[in-house]
Amino acid sequence: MGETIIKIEHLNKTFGAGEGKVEALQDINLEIEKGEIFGIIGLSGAGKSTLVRCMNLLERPTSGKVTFAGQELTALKEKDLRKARRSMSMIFQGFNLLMQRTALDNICFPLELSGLAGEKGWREKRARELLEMVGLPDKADAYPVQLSGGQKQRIAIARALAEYPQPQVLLCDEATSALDPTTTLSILELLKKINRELGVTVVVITHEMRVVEQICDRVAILDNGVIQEQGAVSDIFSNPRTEAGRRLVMPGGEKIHVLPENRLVRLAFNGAASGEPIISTLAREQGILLNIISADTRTIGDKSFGTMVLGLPQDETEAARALIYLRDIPGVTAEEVTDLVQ
Amino acid sequence: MFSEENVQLLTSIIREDLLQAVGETLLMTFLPTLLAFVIGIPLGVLLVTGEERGIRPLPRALMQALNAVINLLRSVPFLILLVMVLPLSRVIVGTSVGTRAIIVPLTIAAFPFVARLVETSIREVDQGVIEAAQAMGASPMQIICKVLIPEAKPALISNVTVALITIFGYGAMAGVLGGGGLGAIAINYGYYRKKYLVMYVMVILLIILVQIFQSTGNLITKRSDKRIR
Repeated sequence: MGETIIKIEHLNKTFGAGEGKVEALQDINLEIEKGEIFGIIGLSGAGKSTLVRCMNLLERPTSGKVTFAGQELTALKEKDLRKARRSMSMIFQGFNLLMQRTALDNICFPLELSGLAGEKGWREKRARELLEMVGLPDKADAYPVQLSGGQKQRIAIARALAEYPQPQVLLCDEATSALDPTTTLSILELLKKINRELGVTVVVITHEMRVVEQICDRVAILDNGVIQEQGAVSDIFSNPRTEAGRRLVMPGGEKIHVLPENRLVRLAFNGAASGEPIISTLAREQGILLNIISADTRTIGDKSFGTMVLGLPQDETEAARALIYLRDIPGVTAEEVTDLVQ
Repeated sequence: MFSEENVQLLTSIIREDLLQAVGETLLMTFLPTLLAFVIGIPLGVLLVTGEERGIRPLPRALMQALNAVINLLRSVPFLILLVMVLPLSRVIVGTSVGTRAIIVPLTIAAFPFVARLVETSIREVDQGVIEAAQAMGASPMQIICKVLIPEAKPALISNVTVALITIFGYGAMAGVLGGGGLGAIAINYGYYRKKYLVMYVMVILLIILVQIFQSTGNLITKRSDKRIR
């Protein structure tokens, strides 16, 4: 476990009051480690954007504590909070560039704000280095309207990193949701590069599985304002424990066509083993036949992961033996399930 | 209408008074517009930023008072306002007749209108951009000076044109109560002395000036807006 950079404790956020009251976030507890890429995934309306805005206090939590780099943001005065925000920048789905400024001047913007940025020449030099880093050295004098979505997001990323000293955290609020798949990939690659080369901690808010698969180390699943589960991406995606998790990981749901009296077992593969050999071994060595009810495998990073739902034999002892066998296989988690998502 | 007498009158007016009248008209248009924006920009910005969900909320009572005063001034018809305010001109500029005196009521009539124009221009600025600036640690004053006003600049310039032409119209009206300029000539000769030729020529000049204001305004607005490729 590394050093914690953002810590959220018992955070609640409520909008409105009385009958129109909406509990947007409920008892959120999160620890984001320095240098990681942390994903927060959820369907729209789950409270993701509110949660990320509670991290830099663009939204003030109704209750709870937000700590950033050892500083309790929720206890700060407005002026000190503004100072703290300089080391936690943010990019957005809508890019939010200043439309009346060139790309270069957009990147200079945070340096102008902080005032301690020195002369114009120095600011521009820094901005040009960042343009180089995001791969758009020739777009310095372009206005946002002349740029494509992907280019705008690159400028926004450069702007987010321009502050001096360099921000420690980059919050990405659905940063790729307005982009096509190819552009999304290239922006994700850029975020990865920033994380690796500059050591910036990245927090990614998204509703897209592939974004989390692509770049995140750890992920939290947010559903209805509550964190349902959190952990390493490989664990959560190979073996989601909650219904919200399964809904996200298997958006199609597991289609079950099986007699209700069949007991079911879900196998989760974490890259060490895969499905078919296990079933055939079980049949050969134990003489137990299992039905494959559903199977879904995917490749994450360079490992292959998957889940499979099997129907156990009607016979109780055979079923028990099969379960014992399955649980003993290294790299496989087997659990009996009763509440499959239809 | 085109009798020799009328034509002679017109030529003598053109020769002797026209240049000064055009000068007065321009002064009565541009100076109050400038003053109205000097007062109207801060007020218009305040109307947006001081709201409950604004970047720097102000006490609700203060906002309500501000809105009430603006609405009140806007509901008084210009000619009545002129009558009411001219005595004030004596205090401020030392006289209650002539072009100089008219500047005061024109400014007072124009600034609430300009405040509303500024308000709508500022409201057009994308909320997301404001949020981005906040996320970067911008103070409310920095957001106003570096985001709201620069981003609203094209809309503001376009509204300068609107204000200019409205104030120009008020200025012509002020001719009735001793203001100067082309409007005064049109009213004095056309209305009081039934010299319609003079009146029509003055009106045509007014129309030409409005056209020039509008097309120049449009051009500058377009040039300044970087959202146009």
